[in-house]
Amino acid sequence: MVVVFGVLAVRVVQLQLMSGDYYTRQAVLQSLHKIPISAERGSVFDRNGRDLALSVQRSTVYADPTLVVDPAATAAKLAPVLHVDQKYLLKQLSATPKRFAYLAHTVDDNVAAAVKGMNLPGIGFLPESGRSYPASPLAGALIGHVGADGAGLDGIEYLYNSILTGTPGEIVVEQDPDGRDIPNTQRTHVVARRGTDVMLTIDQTLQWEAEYALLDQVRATQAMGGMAALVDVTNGDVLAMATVHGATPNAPAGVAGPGERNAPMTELFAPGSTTKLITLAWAIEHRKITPDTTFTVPYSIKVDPGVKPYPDAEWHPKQVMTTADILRQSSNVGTIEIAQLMHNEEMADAVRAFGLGTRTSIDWPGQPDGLMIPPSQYYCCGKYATAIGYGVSVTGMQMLGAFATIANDGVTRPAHLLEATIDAKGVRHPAAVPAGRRVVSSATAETMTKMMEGVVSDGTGACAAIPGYPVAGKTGTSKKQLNGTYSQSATMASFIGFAPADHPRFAAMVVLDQPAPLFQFGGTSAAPAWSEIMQFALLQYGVAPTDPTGDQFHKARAVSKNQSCSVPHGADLANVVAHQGAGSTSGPTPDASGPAYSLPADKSRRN
Amino acid sequence: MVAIALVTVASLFTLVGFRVVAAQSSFALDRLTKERTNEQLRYERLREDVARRSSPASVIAAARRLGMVDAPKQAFISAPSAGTHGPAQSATPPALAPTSYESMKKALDQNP
Repeated sequence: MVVVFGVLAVRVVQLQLMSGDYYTRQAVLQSLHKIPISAERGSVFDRNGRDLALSVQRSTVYADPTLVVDPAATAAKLAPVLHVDQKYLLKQLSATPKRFAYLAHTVDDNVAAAVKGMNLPGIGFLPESGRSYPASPLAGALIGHVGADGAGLDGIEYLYNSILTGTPGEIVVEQDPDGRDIPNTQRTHVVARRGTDVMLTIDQTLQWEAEYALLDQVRATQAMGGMAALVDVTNGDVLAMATVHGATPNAPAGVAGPGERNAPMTELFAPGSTTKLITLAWAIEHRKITPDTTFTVPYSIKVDPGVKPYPDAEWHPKQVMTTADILRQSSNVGTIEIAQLMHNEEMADAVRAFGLGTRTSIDWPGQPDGLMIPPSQYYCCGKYATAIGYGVSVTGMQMLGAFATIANDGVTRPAHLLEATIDAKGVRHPAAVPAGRRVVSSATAETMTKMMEGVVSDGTGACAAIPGYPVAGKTGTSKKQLNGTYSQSATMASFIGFAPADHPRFAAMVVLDQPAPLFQFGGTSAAPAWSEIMQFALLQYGVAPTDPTGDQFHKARAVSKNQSCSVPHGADLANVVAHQGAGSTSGPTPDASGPAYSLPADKSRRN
Repeated sequence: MVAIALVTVASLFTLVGFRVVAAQSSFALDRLTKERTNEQLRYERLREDVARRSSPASVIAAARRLGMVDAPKQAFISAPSAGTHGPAQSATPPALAPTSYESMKKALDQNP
């Protein structure tokens, strides 16, 4: 007896005194359970506080395969309700001896209610935070989306993932072996911290207008796609950024969705004649020319014996043109004659100063720098190619930045997408706005603005005119880069400009990717969409008309013959598409009784 | 001795009472926490619903259901310029009859 008690006493001493701390730790480790609490992801708002993306608690449907009575029948019942493949469901429901299998993540409330109503054995529900895009499909490519783990995969969701993501919390409790909380024991609660909200500079209404004006014009011109952007030149806010893909044999044209490229930030193209703004502005700034300097301009010009001559878009006899005429008529030859007055380094400085070859201030994932020929490799012709918008590849936002610089009195106005962040306590933190730098003098900017007004009044950009507001802008029609060379038929058609020209408020860019041959020029395909988007923005923001008599508009309409400058919508668009389907692949044919589309006047057909 | 026993028993009952109140409070807290969670979920749902219904796509769809169509291009009406006719003169307010306020009030009182 004494021995037994002695042994027990020794054991008690061993357990309590010698190894007591160890066993206490082990007991705590076995009974303590950490319950993670996921942090809600921050919302994405437009500039007016309207939700573009938010997190909503939803139900995730799961199965305990050991409790499912008839997997095949259950799968057959669930498949049409969950919209999940029946074979997949059967595989999940038959996955014994597993006791947990996902069937569908974050389903809608009505779906969850329908499944609950079936009272199927072995089917359960878990609350899970799902991402909702209530304005979808608006700005899909811009906002992006999140993966199954809630992390941003592309677009704004990826760009601001680190601040949208919150900090997870946890509850630590002591539980008995059956999972019940043990009262009066250790319990800690680390509160999950919600992610920061992101307020964009985007205006939901303008975004919609930009997307659907562009989409309808892409349909009407049978383009392979298009991009558009609108910025407020007074502060650099990007108000709209749209990407549209054209129709394919398998799908109709549509607004780019999540996972698709955000073209204005990522797609490179040769800007073509819109670059003439830069060439002429730099030449005027450095006193090489004035708007009234005259040039004798033939139809084509040979800059090197070994290279084919550069022609203008349409044949014309040798003529005397002023600098303003050269811009208005978008003369390649005239621009090359101006470039002959500049050194190689000056040409390269010009494009660099206007922001080409450098990423924009928006830190967009996958944004390219753009391509520029270094002046040391200009050889015979690089300077001239650069002067008329070849030999450089740019993004749409880079070119828009160059025009916004002129609109902003010669000072860059870096574009930005982030208006503010709103922390978990609801405190708003305005985003820092990048500072601008002067590129050309105020006088040069004013001169260029006047000359670009001429492009719209009586030049290639007549279709961009807006009643009530003077417009300054430039058309561009460049040969598309395909398989490492310039296509002889496919073009990138663009119009970039700002309004009101006398008190600039907005600058916008529209580029159509490979419109049908009838619409291959920027003046006929991009300018009408530009005009519609800009007009909508001016009216939406209550910008007072500064040309109430419509002087420029009436002059421009006389040039464009009135009928070729509108984006067809609704019944008109259906009519255009019907004509395309019935006719050739080269686009709608002129028809007096048909939609408002016909061959434009000669002047507006040039690039 | 009896006093000690009474104090002890009273203390025990008080302690039990506190425990009961604490347990009841924890039930109330649990219920309120659930209510808060439910209201939070309801708020999220309503917020999503408002955002969905006020999105341009929904507004345009609703407008079309009501038979609305896209507006044609807007027109600007030019107001005639407000030029001066004749030499400028300083304006003088018309004199109000001393009884005008009272008579107006009376008239309004009689015919509201």
